[in-house]
This record gives sequence, C-alpha cells and structure tokens, in this order.
Amino acid sequence: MGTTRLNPWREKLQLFMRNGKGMFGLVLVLIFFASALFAPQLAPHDPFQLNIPARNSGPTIDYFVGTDQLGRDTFSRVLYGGRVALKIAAIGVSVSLLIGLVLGMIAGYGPRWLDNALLLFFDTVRSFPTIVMALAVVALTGPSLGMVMVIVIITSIPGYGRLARTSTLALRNADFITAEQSLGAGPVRVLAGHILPNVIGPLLILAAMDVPVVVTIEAGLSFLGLGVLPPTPSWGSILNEGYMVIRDTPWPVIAGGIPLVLTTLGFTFLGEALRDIFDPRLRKGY
Amino acid sequence: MLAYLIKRLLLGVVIVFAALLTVFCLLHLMPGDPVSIALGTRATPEIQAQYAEKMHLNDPLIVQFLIFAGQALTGDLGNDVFSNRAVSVMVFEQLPYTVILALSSITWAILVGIPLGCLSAIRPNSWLDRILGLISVGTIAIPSFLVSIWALLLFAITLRWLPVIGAGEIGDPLDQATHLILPSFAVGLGWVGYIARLARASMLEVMNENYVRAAWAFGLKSNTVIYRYALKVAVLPTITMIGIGFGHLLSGTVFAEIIFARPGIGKLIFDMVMSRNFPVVQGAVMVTAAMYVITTLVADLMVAWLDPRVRESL
Amino acid sequence: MKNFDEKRREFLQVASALGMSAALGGYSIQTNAEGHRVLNARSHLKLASLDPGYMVGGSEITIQWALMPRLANFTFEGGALGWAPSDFVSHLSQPDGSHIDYTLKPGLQWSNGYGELTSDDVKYSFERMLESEWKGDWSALDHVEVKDKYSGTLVLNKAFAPIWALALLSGTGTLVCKKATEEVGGKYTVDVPATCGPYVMDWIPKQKVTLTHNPLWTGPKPYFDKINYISIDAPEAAELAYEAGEVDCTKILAKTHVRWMKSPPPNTKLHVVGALQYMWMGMNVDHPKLKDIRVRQAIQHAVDVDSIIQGAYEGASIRSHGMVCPGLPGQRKESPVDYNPGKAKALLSEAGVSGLSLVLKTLNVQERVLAAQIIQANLGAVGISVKVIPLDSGPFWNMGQESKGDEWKDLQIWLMRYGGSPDPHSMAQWFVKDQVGIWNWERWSDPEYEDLYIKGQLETDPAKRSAIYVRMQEIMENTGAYVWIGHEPEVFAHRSNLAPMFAPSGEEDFARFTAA
Repeated sequence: MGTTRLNPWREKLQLFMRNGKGMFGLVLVLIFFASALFAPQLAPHDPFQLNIPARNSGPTIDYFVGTDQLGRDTFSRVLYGGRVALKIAAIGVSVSLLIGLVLGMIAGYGPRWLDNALLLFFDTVRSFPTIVMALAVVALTGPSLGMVMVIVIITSIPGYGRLARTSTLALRNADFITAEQSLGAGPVRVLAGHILPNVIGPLLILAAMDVPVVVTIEAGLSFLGLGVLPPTPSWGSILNEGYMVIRDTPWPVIAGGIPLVLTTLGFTFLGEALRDIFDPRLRKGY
Repeated sequence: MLAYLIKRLLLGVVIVFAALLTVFCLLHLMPGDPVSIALGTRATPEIQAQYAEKMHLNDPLIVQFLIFAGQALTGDLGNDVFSNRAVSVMVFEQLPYTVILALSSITWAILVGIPLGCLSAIRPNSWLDRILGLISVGTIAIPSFLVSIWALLLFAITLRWLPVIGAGEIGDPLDQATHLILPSFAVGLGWVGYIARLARASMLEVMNENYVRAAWAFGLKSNTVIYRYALKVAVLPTITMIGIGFGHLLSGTVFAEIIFARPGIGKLIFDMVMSRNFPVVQGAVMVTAAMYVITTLVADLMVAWLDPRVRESL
Repeated sequence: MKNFDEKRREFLQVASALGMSAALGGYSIQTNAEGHRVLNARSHLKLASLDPGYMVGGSEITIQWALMPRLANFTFEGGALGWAPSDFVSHLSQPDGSHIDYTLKPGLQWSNGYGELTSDDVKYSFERMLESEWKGDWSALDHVEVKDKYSGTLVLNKAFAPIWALALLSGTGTLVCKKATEEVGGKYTVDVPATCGPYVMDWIPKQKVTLTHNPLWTGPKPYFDKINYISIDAPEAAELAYEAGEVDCTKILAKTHVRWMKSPPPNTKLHVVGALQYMWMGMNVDHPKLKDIRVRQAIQHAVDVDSIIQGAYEGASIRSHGMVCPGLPGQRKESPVDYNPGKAKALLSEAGVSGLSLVLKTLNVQERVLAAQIIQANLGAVGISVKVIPLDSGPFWNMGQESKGDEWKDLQIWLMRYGGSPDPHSMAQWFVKDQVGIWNWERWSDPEYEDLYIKGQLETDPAKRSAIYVRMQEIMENTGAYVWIGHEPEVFAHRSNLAPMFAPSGEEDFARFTAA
C-alpha cells in the first residue's frame, strides 16, 4: 500500500507548533509587533505630554508604571519606544540583509581575488566593537538616530555576508548550476534565479536572531545619549533617564528594561526554533 | 606552521591598516575643515597650526595617509588637544584596566559556563538540562549594560555589599579585587550563557564519537572519559568564539566602565568623544583594532596548538 | 611592602571601623593606619591646566590654592564676602581706590630649587594676566610697581572696587614663579614648574590628585595630612560614592539637595555655598527668524519659568529676573514679563508669523535637557515647534563665538549659564558691545548700557550702584533676547565632623579645612 507523502512544509509547521520555546517566542514577537504598531491606540496618554506636579510617581491607576522626571507617562513612552525599536529592526535588518546577501553571493561566486577582498572587508568591520565605532562616528557627527541606523547596518552586514558566501560556495559547483551555465546563463541570472532562493533561507533565520542584537545596540547607544534626541522615547533613552532618577524611583529602569529583555527572548527563541527545524546544519560552530 | 603564522600576522597587519584607513576616511569625508573637526573648537590657533603641519594637510591625500599610517605604526599617535600629552601615553595608561576587566569577566564566565555545559551534556534533556538551557538563554537576552545598572542598584546601592565606583587603590590588590566583582559579573554574565551552550554542544558531539564510546566500552570510568577526552575538545570552539567575540566583549567593558566609573579604554574613548578630542579617539580606536587582531591570532594559535587535527592540516 | 597578613588586619580594622560607624549611622572622616588625617573629596572637572591664565576653573582653582601662593584669602563675616591677608604676606592694604600695597614674608621657597618668592614673581604673575585668557578679571590693572625684594604696589588704572572679588580672591590671583614659568615658555598645563604652598601634588591622570604636606613649607600646617581629590564625572556616581563612604565631601545636584534636606544620609551636613551662577535662555537677535522683536517678546511670554524650576530643578534653583546674583548689589527682584501664552500668541499673529520652527541648543546636562524639553512643550503650545539639540561642552562653548567658525550665524535659541564672582560687574562685563561674537551671543548693544557699565565700576554709593545694575538688566530684558530662568546654588554635602571652607563660587580651600 502506498502512503501519501505529507507536504514537507506542513510537517515542519507541526514540528514548530510542538516546540514550546518556539511558540513562546512567537507569542512574544507578536506582542512586540502589535504593541509597537498599535501604540497610538494602546497608549493611555500622549507620550510627550508633560505633567510636572505628577513627576517621578510610582504606579497609579492613571499611570500604570508611573511617570518620569517631567511627568510623562512611562507606560505610553515604553509603547512608543517600541516603535523606534521596530523601525531600527525592520529597516536595519532588511538593509543589511540585502547588502550582505549580495556581497556574500558575489564573494562566493566571483573570482578569488574579489572573494579575498570582501572577506577582508567583513573581517575588518567585525573587528571593531560596535560601541567603539559608534562613539568614533558620533565624535564627528553628533548624536542622531540616522547615524545609529547606519552603524547598525554596517556592523550587521558581515554576518549575512559570510553566511551567504558559505552557502553560495557550497552551491557553486552543484550540478544544476553547471547545467545552467553550460546553457549560457550569465552570472546575474544564475545568482538571482538559482542561488538566491537556496541561500536566503538561512539568512532569514539569522535575521530573526539578529533583531535582538540590533535593538540592543540602539538601546545601548540611546542609553549613552548618542541615539535618539529628546523628547523622542526609545527604550534606551527611557533607561538613561531612569538611571538618573534611580534613587527617586526605580520604575523607569524596570519598565524600560523589561520590554528589551522580552523582545530579545522572543526573537531568540523564535530564531532558534526555526533554525532547529529548518536548518539544523546552522547549529554547528557559530 | 610557520607559514600559517606568517600568513596570519600579515592578515593582522592588513586589518589594522584597514582600520587606520577607515578612521582616516571618516575624518576627511566629513564636511568642513578637518582640523577643527579633529581638534574640536577649544584648540588654540597654535595647536591648530601645529596639527595642520603635522598632518601635512597641504599635501595630496595619498601622501597624507601614508604619513599618518607611518606615524601611527611607529607609535606616534599624536597629542591630546587640551593638555598636549602624548596620546599613546594616555591610551596605555588606561589599557591595563580594560584588559584586567575583560580577562576576569571571561574567566568567571568560563569557570561557570563550562561546568554548566558539561552537566547539561551528561544528562541531555533532563529537567536539569532544560533549566540550564533557559538560564543560558536568559543571560544572553539581558543586555550587559542593563545587568550593570541593575547590579549596581541591587548590590551597591540597596545592599551596600560592594563598592560603587572606581578601580580601587593602586597597590592594594584586595581593594582592586572588590572593585572588580560587580563589573566583571555584569560583563561576563552574557558569556556564561554562550559558553555553556557551546560546551554542551561540543560535549554532546564528542560523546558520540567512536573513540569515546570505545573508551567507555573498555570500562574507563565516566568521569575519566569526560575530563580527559571530551572536555579538551569542548575547549576549542570556546577559544575560537572568544577570539571572534572579542569585539563584543569590549563593548561590554565600555558600558561597565561608564556605569561603574572605572578607568579604562572604553571610558577614555567615551570621555574623549564627549569632549570632541578626536586625536585621542583615533589613537584609542587604533589600539583597539590592534588588540582585536592580537586576540584572534592568539585564539587561533591556541586552537591550532591544542587540536591535533588542525595542526596536521597546517 | 606589606605582607598579606598585615594587609588583612588593616582591612579588618577598616572594615570594622566602617561597620561600626555604619551601625552608629554614617561614615566620618578617618585617620588611616599610619595616624595620618586623610580626607577624600570629589572633583568633578578633568584637569586640563593649572596655569591661572589659561585654566578652565573649578577643581583647577582648588588645586592651585593648595599648591601656590596668593596675596589674599577670602573671608565670610555674616554672609558678606571680605578679604584678609594670606599666609604669604606680612602686610596687605589698600590706601586708596587705585593702589594696593603688599609685603611678602621672607623665606618662602619655591620648589625645584627656584629660590625665594619675591616681588618679581608678583609683578610677573599679575602683568602676564593682561595677555592671558582671563584678562577680563584683571582689566583694571595698570602695572605692578616693585619697591624692593619683598614689597610693592599694584597700580590700577582707575578706582575699581571689584578688583578683590574678581581677581585677588579668585583663581586668577594665584602667583607663579617667574623664573620657572619663563623657562617652560611662559605658560604651562598640568605640570606646574614650581610650587610654593602648604601642599604638594601627585597626579594619577583621570583618577585623582593626591595632596600631601610640602616639606619646604614654613607657614602654618594645615589640618589634613593627605587629601585624595578623586575625579568622578557623573554627579549621581559621586553621590553614590558619598553614601558608600568613599568620599567625604562632594558637590550635589539640586534634586539630591531637595531629597537630602528631607532625609539626609547619616552624619551629614549640607552646605549651601552660594548662588553665583545665572541661567537664562538667549535668542540671537540677528537671526532672520528672530529679528522681529515681537517674536522674541512672544517667546518671553510663552515660557513657563516656574515649571522649569520645579520640573528640572526640583524647586532648588532660585528664580531669577536678571543676571546679578542674590546677595549682591543690583539683584533684580521682579520683572514685568510674565508667563502668558495668550499674549504670546497675540504677539506672534501681530508679527504675522505662523508655523515657526526653531532649534534650541543646550549643554548635555540632565537638568538643562529637562528644562529644554519643558521649553519645547511651552513653545509648542503657542504654535512654535522646537527641536532640542543637546551638545557636549566642546562644541557648546563655541556656538556663538565668531572666532570658531560659522556656527554663530545659525544660532537661534539656547540655554546658557555663566558663573560669576561676588560682584555685579563680573556679570555685566559679558554683555557689552565689545563682547558681541565673543560672549555676547545674543548680539545686541545699547548705548545706555555701555554708559551705565562704566558708571557702575566707579560708583561707590551702594544704593546708587544697585540702581545702575538694575536698570542694566531692564535694558537687557527689553531687547526681548532674554528669558531669565534661575540661579542654581552650589551645594556641598560633607561629613558632620568636617569643617570645610568653600569660596562662594564653589571651590574648596583645602588648606583651611579642619575637623568640626
């Protein structure tokens, strides 16, 4: 008797749903997206509204996690802070993924000297600790969210680049590629049409695990005062302001830190579950 | 082996060179007059003229860069804008503190992480393994600067167990050690998670290898097997990862130095950035790049030395 | 080299001493194991220069006072600033408004073998100030006449009452060694070529300065044998260090002042030193967006200064109506400009301005960034959108200066704070026409102000002098370029068993610190 082969995607999906950590991660990620996207609807107060007499208060009915130094509602600011995180994550990760993908494919597919040159570029960029590079750049330009974005993008590119390169190298000599080439397909066509679809999978998984890194970098830089400008709330700047009033009220430091931790956990669990299911090969090494 | 060493050294030189190039480009690509950008606005006309001459700003760009690189490689990193002290002196004064912090952070992370990883590997999928797994991920998830702040709040402010700021009296190792506890805890915490997971993964891999199973079959006790064979292998990827992650480690120390007001390269760079003292920033960044190169080289060499497979292939 | 056991004993001793005092409530100043009296104090400024002509000020003045000679000491009798001869002179007097006679004590030796402190050093020290960065303080000096090896006369070019507060009692009154300074090229930074004072210093860059007794010093010995002047940037970190017993004396933030007045740490006294800072928001009258005086007046009425005092300073700053500080002649107690958003909107529409957007720059210090956000909200409420840009001290202090590039052209509105000496002249000097493009960033001038400026230096009757300075501040406010905010007091917290000595401008005079 023959058995019907299950659709491989269905099988993976079922595996995923059974993975407790992965589901938990997915829930956290969805909460992150929802709270950031719907912040204007969810926030009980205008995050920029000052209320000096009510400043530095603890949690009350009106202000769920209390107020900050100028009487602004911390809860609303945290929600809006999620939007900054989302923006950085979305734009930062997608741009660096694209650039890393292209560069990696070129490195893997192109001539040896180009490969070496690109590898050198990847290694150099990775050798700078992000914070040090950010500080050096800010020394020249002054603080800005745009700069943070650029730095985040540049420091993430090598990760995607190397992964794309490795996958491309593995595929380069595969039969179906050789077949295409003998049919006269040019490099762009080969890359875009055949290599790319096979390479993008691992990159997307890396992207999921990269989001928390990117969000943390933004938070760290904003904490140092190098990121968003006042009065824009970001989790990092809320932490910074909270650190300064830490003796008067511990709530901003707690409220600013928790979403950071939860988002990181969420994306990490999700990314790992995806990796375990779709590409266990990625597990080895780092 | 020698060829490999030379190749790596050359690669290292190239990386430092590339770092120099990046820093140089940053300076010259910015709109405006490079002298005021580099020296900021507090520099007197004498210092500005001195700097312009030293940088040969009237020569073609290539010449400028070569001279700049040459000076840097011979140890002349320029002078601080305000006090006119040599940048190299300032950087090397602060360097030991950062190195000590980085080393102690990674040491305690290894001392805790590897045993944790081994324990998980010995009993895979037990409740112990799952809990340790959660702890590993948890510690990775909390950004190190957050750990620093919360640790400061809890241990130094609320409980008053540990000192708050600084590095302690010079020449008093006990005092300096107490000042190291919180910062290295904060910086190392995230690494505990990484190292534990790595150790676990490589232990599991090794324990399935034939030679290990053979040793068991021969009746060698479990512990002997683990410690003599498996552990050695688990150490290798850890070392590699530390080498690669050195940049990450340095970021952690920067935050710890700022939050705990410790001296060090990170704090130096931060302070100098805040006062727009670019020559010092430039010099410190250069030294950082060189440190990264040396660390990766040492890490790779240690791996090569410890792992016969790698040594053979060289 | 102590062995480990000795060190352990010491540690336990200190630990139990701390533990005991913590149990008793709070730390106190200690005698260390060798029987020396040690003081740990906090410094918030990074050392850049100890040359009185080229220094930044603050902690640098503190250190100079410990190391170097000067003619006069400041005194505080009943809250009024006065002067008395220092330990370096046997005679100091002012026979008339433009002459000051001094006679140095013989036998005071400079370090590094540079011989005795003589009249030549006095002449060199003060005359070189006329070309230095701080020449404004010494502008009344004509020359120093040397009578003999130890005595001479300072000859002023006019009768100038403020010479004491501005110059002789402040950081710029430090004497340097002529021979040694000339040998290093006429000026120096952190390495002082020769010192002559109760203390000598040892410096660990970016960490601390240690002051110990000067073996060559023959004058009265100060109480403390060793002073660790520890460098801590962040004010919160300094306060933590104080609470943890790591420093015994530190300046504190306004909000900490408020908190500690209600519940101070054990064994602590708070000392309000003086309010010689004056803070305001300035507007560049030459900028196209601000050229119309009605726009500036609208802004003056739109800012709610009281909420800034509450929100950014926790009520601990004193509301100001001018730049002359409390306790000085000429302090302006009230002003007709009030917080009136309605009037602001009316003025704006009268000027035909709508949808105005401005850039507000400020020093990147927490209280000022908070104040900036309050102003941003205030102006937003009347239809002006404001972008806040916090700057670090390097670029901040150059914003309005013509000599440092072109940024002054685009400067619009900014938060500024200057510090002064205990004389209204020291506040007024920065706003004359000559200062446009140097320290008068608002870029205005007024002939009546110039006239009064000269009158104020010559007038001796206190009531008339007061009226002169009040009128000057009125003129300033009428230009529409100033929103007066407040005078932040300098507050120190220190152990109860410490009896400190602070200048009204907030520097420590360590040689005069004793136990209470």
